[in-house]
Amino acid sequence: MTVLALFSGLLVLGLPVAFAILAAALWQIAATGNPALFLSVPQQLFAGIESYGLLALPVFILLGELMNAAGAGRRLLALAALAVGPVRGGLAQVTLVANAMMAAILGSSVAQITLMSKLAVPEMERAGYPRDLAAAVTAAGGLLAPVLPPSMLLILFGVTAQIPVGELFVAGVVPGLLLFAALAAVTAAGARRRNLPVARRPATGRGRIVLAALPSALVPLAMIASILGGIATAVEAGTFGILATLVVGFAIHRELRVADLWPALKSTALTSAVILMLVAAAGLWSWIAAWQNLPAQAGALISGLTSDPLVFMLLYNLMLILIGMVIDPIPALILVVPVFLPIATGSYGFDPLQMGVVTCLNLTLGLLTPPVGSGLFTAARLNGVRPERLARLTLPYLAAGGAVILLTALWPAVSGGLGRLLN
Amino acid sequence: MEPELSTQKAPGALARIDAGLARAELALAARLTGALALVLAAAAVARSLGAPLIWADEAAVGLMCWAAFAGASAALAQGAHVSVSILESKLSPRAGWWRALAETLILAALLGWLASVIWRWLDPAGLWQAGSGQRLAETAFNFVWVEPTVTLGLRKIWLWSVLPLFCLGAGVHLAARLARLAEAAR
Amino acid sequence: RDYRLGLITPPPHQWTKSAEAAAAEIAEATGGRVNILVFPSGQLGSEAHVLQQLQTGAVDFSMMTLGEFASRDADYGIFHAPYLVEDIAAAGDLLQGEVAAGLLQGMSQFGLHGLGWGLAGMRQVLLAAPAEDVGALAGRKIRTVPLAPEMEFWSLLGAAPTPMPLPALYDAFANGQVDGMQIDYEGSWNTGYYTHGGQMLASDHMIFPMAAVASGRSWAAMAPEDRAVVEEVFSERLKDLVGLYAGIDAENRERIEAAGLTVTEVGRDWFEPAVSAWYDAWHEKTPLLAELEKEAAR
Ligand code: NA
Ligand code: NA
Repeated sequence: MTVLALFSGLLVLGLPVAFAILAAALWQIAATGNPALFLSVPQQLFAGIESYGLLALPVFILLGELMNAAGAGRRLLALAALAVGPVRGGLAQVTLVANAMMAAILGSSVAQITLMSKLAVPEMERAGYPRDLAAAVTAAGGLLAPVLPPSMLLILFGVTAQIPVGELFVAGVVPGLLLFAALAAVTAAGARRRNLPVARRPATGRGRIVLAALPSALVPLAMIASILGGIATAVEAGTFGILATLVVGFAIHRELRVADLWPALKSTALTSAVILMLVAAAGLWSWIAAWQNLPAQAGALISGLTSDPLVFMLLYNLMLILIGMVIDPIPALILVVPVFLPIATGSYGFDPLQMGVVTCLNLTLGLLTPPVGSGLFTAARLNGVRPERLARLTLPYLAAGGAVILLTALWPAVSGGLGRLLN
Repeated sequence: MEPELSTQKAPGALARIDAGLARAELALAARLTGALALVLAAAAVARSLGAPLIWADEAAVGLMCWAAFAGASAALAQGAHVSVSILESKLSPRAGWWRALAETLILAALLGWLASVIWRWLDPAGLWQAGSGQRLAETAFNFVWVEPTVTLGLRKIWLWSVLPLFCLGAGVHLAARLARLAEAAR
Repeated sequence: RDYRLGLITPPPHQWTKSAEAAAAEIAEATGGRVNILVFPSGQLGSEAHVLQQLQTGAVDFSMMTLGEFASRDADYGIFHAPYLVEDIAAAGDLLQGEVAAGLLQGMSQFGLHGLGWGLAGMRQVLLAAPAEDVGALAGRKIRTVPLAPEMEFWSLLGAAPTPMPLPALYDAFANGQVDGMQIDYEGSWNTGYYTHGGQMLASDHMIFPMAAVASGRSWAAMAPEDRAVVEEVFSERLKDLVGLYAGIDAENRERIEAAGLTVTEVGRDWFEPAVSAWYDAWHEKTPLLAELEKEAAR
C-alpha cells in the first residue's frame, strides 16, 4: 500500500512514469529487508528488455517513420478509404480494418500501435479529425493484435498451460471478431456524437488512386510474403518492410531523400528508448512481485472466498483488471497463469482454452489502462497527446472490450464453439 | 514534458556538456538501432539460405538494450520521457518552479540510489583487489565480470556496462537541469 | 524460513511436479524450517537469470538444463553426446555414476551446490517433411537449443542448427522458418508441434539431463541437519523422476502415433558417419568424454 501511494504521488508530481515505476520497485525491494536482492537489481532491470519480441518496437517505429517519409502510408490509406466508402468517421473504421488485417499477420500490439500512429493518425488529422480522437482509435485497434491469431500472448499461454497452441488460436477467433465488432461499434457511435467528417468522394478517379497505391502495396506484401513463405519471423518481416519502403520511396515514388534517413533513425531511437525504459522498470517491478509470491497469495485469497465457479470467474477477471493496470500483458501472464490455471481447471472445472482466451483478452486491455500501459504511453508519445487525455478517450473502447470478456467468460461456447465445429 | 526548461540555456560549460552529451547519446542510439535492423534482415536472409547466423538474435537484442539505455539518458536531457501533467498544467509559474525542483531532486536521488546499487553489484574495489574477474568470482562469489553471453563469444559485462554509463549520463543531465533551475530563480 | 526454487517448466510438467513434491516433503521433515516456494514457468526469469539470482542468493534452488553450464565449461556438454546410452534406464544409471558425481561437485565454480541429476525425455526429431534417409536432412533448418554439442551434431549432419527461443518455435515451425526440431515426445505432444509435422524420427539419439542445484550462498547459511534432509529428499524425488520418464516417453509416443503422425524408428547407423565424427571432435574438446563412455559401456 505504501508503495502504491508513493508511486501515485510521484506520478502526480510529474516524474517520468518510467522513473516513478523504478522508484516504486526499489522501494518495494528495500521493504523486503533482504539486501541480497539489490545485487540482482541491475541484472533484472536489464533483463526486463532483454527479449526478442521487444525488437518489434524499434523495427516497426522505424518502418512507420520511413513509410511516412516515403509517402507510402498516405497512398495505402487512400486505397483503403476507397473500400470503406462515404461513411461518417470512415477513416477511423479504415484504421480498425487495417489493424485487424495487421493483427492477422503480427502478434504485437505495440508494433501495431506504432505503425498506425505514424500512418493513420496524420491522415485522419488531415481529414479533419481531432488528433486525440484519432490517437484513441489507433490505440484501441492495437488491442486486436494479441487476440486475433497469431498471437504471442496465446502462444505463451499455451506453453505455460501445456495445451496445443493451434487449438488456442481457434478458440481466439470468435472472441477476436467480437472484439473487432465492438470496437467498430464504439467508433461509429463516437463518430456520430463528435460529428466526424464523412469520407469525401475522392477528387481523383478511383483508377488513379489504385494505380498510385500499387507500388506502396509492395511494403505490406513483402512482409506478408516473407512470413508466409517461411523466410522471416514477424520482427524480421518488419525489416523487409523497411527495405521495400526504401526501394519504393527512393526509386518509384521518389519522395524519400537520403536526408530523411538520419532524422527517422534518431526519432526511432528516442521513441523506443522512452518506451523500453518503461518496460525495463516495469519488468523490475513484476520481478519483485513474483519474488514476494504475491500471485500465489492472491490465488489463495480468491479460492478461499468462494466455491462457486461463476463468482470465481468474476473475481478472477476483476483481479486481472487490477493487475493489468500496473503490469503489461506478457509479464502479467507469466505471473498469473502458473498460479491460477491449476485452480481454475482443477477446483472449478473450467476449460483451459476458455481460461486462455479470457486471460489474454483481459490482460490485453491492460496495455491501455493507466497508470502502467505501454500501449497507452506509446500512442500518447507518438501522437503528442497527453496520456491522461488519451486514457479518458479510450475508456469506451475498454468498456466494449470488457463486454466481450464478460461474454467469453460466462458463455463457454464463445471460445469453444468454433473448435467443436471444426472437429 | 518540459519544453520551457529544455529550450532554456543552462549557464556555461555545463550546458554545453549537457547538450553535447545528449546529442552523442542519441546519435549512438540511432546508429545502434540501424544496426539492429540490419542484423535482423541479415539473419532472415542467412537462415533462408540455410546458413543461420546463430549470434544474430542475441546481438540484435544487445544492440537494442544499449540503444534503449543510451536513448533513455538523452530523453532525460530533452524532457522526452512520458509523464503525467495533471499537476503541472494547473500550477502558477512560481509553483511550477518548485515542482520542477522537487522532480529534479527526486530524480537525482533515485539515480543516486540506482548508481549505488550498481556500484555494489560491480564491486570495482573488490575487482581491483582480486586482480581479475575470475579471482573475484572464486573469492567473493561475484560472477558479474565472468558471466558469458550465449552466442556472442563476449562477456556479458560488455552489454551490462551500459547501465553505469546510463547513470553517469543521466547524472550530467540532471545536474544541468538543476543549474537551469537555479538560473531561472535569479 | 521461506526458500525459493525457480525453474522454467510449467506447472503440468514432471520437473515442476517433482519440485513441488520435494518441497512439501522437506517442509514436513524440517517442521517448516525449510519452506521451499516453487516458482514455475520462468516466473523468476529465464535459466540465465535464475542462475544469476542463485549466485547472489536472491533465489535458493533450481532445476535447470545444462545450457548455462555447458556455455561456461565444455565438460558439462558431454551428456549431450549422441547415442551415449540406449534408453532412459541406462541414462539414469549414468547420472548416478562417478563422472556425473564429479560434475555435480564441480558446480561450486558457478557458485552453486549440486543436489542431484534428473532428466527429461529422450530426444527425437520432428520434421515438417519426411526424410527418406539421412541425406535428406542436408540443408534443413532444425531448431536446437544454443548448446555447442547439440548444434555440432546437426552441423555434422549437413543440416542448419537454428537456435530459437521456445515461445517462437510454434509459429516458426508452422510457417516453415524451421523445418524440424530436436525434442522429446512430451514437449511435442503438449504444445501441439506434432500437428504441423510430417514425420517423427523415433531416434532416441540424446539424453536431456537436468541438474537440481542450490545457491552456494544459501546453502552455506543453512543448518547442517536441514541440509541433510534437503539432500536426501531431492535425491529420492530425482530417482522417482528418472524412473517415470520411460513411461512418459512411451505414453506420449503412443498419443502422437494415434493422432496419425508417421513415426519412423531410426538408430545410430542411420545417422552415421556424423555420430563418429561428433565423438572425434569432442574427444579433443574434453578428455572427460572418454571416461563417461567407459562408464556407459559398463
Ligand atoms: Na495477431
Ligand atoms: Na495498464
